[in-house]
Amino acid sequence: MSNFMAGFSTFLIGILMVFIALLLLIVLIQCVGKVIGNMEQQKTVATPVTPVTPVMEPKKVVEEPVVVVDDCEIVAVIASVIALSLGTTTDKLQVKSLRRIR
Amino acid sequence: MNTMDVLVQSIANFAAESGFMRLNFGYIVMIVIACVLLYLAIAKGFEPLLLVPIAFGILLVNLPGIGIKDEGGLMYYLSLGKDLGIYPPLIFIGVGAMTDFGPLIANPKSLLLGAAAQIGIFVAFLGALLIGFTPEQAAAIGIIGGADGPTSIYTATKLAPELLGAIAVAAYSYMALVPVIQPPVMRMLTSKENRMIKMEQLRPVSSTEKIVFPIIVTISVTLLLPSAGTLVGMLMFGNLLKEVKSTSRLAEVASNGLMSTITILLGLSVGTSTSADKFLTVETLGILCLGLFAFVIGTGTGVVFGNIMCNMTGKKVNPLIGAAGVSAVPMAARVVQKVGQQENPSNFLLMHAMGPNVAGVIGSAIAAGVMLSIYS
Repeated sequence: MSNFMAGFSTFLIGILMVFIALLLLIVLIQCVGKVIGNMEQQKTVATPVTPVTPVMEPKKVVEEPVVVVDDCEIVAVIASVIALSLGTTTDKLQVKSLRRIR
Repeated sequence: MNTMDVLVQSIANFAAESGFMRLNFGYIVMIVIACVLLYLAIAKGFEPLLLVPIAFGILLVNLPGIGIKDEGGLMYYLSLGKDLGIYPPLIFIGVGAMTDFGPLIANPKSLLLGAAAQIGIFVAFLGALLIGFTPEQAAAIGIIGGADGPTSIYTATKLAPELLGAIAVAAYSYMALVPVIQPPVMRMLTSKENRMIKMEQLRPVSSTEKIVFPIIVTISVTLLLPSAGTLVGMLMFGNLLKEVKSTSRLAEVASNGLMSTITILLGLSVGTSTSADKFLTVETLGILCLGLFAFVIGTGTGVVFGNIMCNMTGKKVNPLIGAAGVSAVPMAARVVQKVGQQENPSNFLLMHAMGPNVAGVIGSAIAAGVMLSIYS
């Protein structure tokens, strides 16, 4: 029983020490993060910014060719990549829906 | 004596010296255990990199007459690295070189979850005392709850070398069984609504912060708790090699060649420390039960603390990430991701769980340091 009582104090000291050590680390990480953040911010501010006078050049109007993207082609490419990673063929896969996220 | 007698005598001698004649029930049980572990590792994919060397070591040492662990045998010498506490810190260099502490630096509060999950260690320690283990043995057994193999081995070599085999097998088995043990505990202690919480994206961490971090941790932890300095220091050394661009070559060696070599040596050494006469005891059964208990309690306290943080932050923290506070890196974080996605398929908790997960590594090393400072 005396072992258990001594052990109980180890239990309390142990938990306390783990929390103290990790709380100390939290404080240190936050402080270091702030100091480094400030230093990096000052660096970007201190970098001399040479004024750039915008030179207006006559813009050549180039008509870019409009690329018509074929959705079916994209579906085929995605399906074949998935098939490749699954080690199967596209005819065994069924694409039920495809949604473009902008 | 005619030729026939000589031949018969020779065959009799050969048969008497063969392993078959020396096989007993204990050896057979251990060979079966080794084969089951090999099956789990190879066929089921349970931590094969660890379990294959350990299981093969168990198999080797339990083939009677091999003498691999006797003085002069191969494993007698290779095991010195484990017995003298050399391999675990070397493994930690590799672990450090493979670990990204970015999620922890971005969200330092996750260190609290890493601390909470260590409560399992101390609860199991009390349990072991109640069962009748000595305080040193109880301390070594409790560390299993940290789910950190190298730390468990390191502590056991210092405090209870006689239990090393059982402790190492328990620690690595539970690490391998993280995906089986943790999810029921996680679900039991969280509500469906909380499990579905999506967390905000972590801030980007600058390379300067990542370089300063290992230095700061080494200095502060070692000054506070010198006995934890070896493990934490090696972990942070490996991490520093990773973060400093000019030492990337060393980091690569630490995370690949060194890590693999030491894993093989440590695995075989651990395996060969489980000879039938030492392993098949009631004590081993007690250690396996206490290890599981410690692991479950550690997971539970991590999740409970996750719930507390969830409520205090106005549901901004998913309590599941508390389960990653046990240090099994990165399995525990992967389990959090999996359980989180089962509730909400569009939820990605992996990076959020990596914070408590790597905090758990530091936490269990600190807990081991506390035990060592009190009992060694």
